[in-house]
Amino acid sequence: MLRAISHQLRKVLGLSLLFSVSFMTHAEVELLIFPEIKANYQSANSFSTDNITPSVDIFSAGAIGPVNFLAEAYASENVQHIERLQIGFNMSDNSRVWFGRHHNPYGYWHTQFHHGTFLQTPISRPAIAELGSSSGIVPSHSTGVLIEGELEQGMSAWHYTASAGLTSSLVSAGGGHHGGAAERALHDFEISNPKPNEHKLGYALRLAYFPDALAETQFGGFINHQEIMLSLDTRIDEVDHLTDIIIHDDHHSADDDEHHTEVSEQDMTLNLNIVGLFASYHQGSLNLVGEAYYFSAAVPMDGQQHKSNFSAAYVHASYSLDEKWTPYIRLDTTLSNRNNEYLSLLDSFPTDAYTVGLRLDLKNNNAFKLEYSKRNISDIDSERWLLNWSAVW
Amino acid sequence: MVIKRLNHIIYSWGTALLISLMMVFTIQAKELVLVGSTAADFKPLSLFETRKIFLGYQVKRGDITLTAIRNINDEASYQIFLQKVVHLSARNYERRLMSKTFRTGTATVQASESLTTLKKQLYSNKYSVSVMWLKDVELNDKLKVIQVLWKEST
Repeated sequence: MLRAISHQLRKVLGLSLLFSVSFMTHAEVELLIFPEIKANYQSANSFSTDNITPSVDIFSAGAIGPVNFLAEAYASENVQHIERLQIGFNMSDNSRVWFGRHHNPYGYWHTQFHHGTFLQTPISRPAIAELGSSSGIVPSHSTGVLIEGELEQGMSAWHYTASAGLTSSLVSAGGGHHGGAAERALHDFEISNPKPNEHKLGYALRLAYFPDALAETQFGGFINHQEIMLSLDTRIDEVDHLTDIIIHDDHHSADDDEHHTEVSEQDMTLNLNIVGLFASYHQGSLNLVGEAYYFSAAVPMDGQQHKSNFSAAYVHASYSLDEKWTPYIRLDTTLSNRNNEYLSLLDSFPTDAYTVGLRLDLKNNNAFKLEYSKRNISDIDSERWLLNWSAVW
Repeated sequence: MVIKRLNHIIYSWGTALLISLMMVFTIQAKELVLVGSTAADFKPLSLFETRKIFLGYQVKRGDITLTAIRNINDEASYQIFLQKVVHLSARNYERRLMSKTFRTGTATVQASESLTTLKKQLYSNKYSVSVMWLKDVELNDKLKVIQVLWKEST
């Protein structure tokens, strides 16, 4: 108990120090605060105060001489996280290098929106862009190096991003990092509680083309290679056959040790490759977004790597009727996902879903949103209502 | 006789002057201009560059990065600025700026609610630019028009 309190205290002190340093320096600091209150109701579940989640995301960025910094922290009743912590330099007018924990640069949605849900039109995220720790299937963060830049061509531009760093591991979640109820979830490397032995490397490369360099319409693609370490209790054979893994105990033999080491090295890493395309089209009040990803996963099982492939995609459309009202709709789908080993590990991922919602923007950067989704999770249909208030200060 | 003639001349000139002034005030169309300090010696911005700098992207002259300041003191000029320069609604413009800062960590475009403060900011940095009505610049010897962004059709 004391240990847990001490850990939380350390996190809070760390975050306070981080933001204090930002303000005490002579840097010009950008500060954004995103408060949010979300209520969710799922069919067949009762509603209680546990379904209401207040949270806040605090963002700060600036520059001290040639050094750029960026820090973002998220806090709810149960979760406090350093989401991003980056220090970087301008390599040229149009390119930067960052070190630290950053967003894994994949797709459109994940690179445009993260926390700070006020900035995104809907309440929920598309299934393939869901945060790794909350039923998502792609690691959300990487801790290492990020290089990004823009290449202007007249009035159009290319944006590129390359990332290499410690990626997520797959753990028994006991409730996802952002309030998800997943049994197993992707768990990002935590700066405030580093466990480098539990994380391997991930690499990402993303390229986007902007026909108008200053507008939001963009098209692009990305590739991701992720080496995801599995904790013992998340291995698929452990899940299916609880006796398969040798667990250390007080009576183990040298042979056991050898066998266990072998298991650790060969069977504890899941290789995930993702290739994706995305497009976002903005014209007046209309916004259309579509993304399609192809996943190739090699999942360790019974001493072998079982390869399996599947695809997932979504389309999102929103139309602002005026400065206040914006209805939206989204369709998520997954193909060739039957008996897929990777998805069976992350079985809270909604393989098919449709979502409709309405956003009401109020003065002073406040918004209310109401959203209904019908989702298929592990071959079971469920309905979900979300109500959300979000703002930015 | 002389006094009567003098009265007539004064009346005629007075009437002519009044009519001229009325014509000037009725004919002079409103103009929205990009302004900077009179010390500013950089070449004018293209329309693309003007849009670019007010969307928070870097615009340079030589090795110096220009700085944009939004003039939100006057609602009418701000609305024209939104329509003619950044091509976004006020809500979408605010969200674009915040989103860019949140995503990339780059500084947002400052806004000034007071014309007096804005002018002082422009005086103090010759690489700063903003947008104003022409009438707010004309009689100010510390500011100069860099270029006309929009002119009211008469």
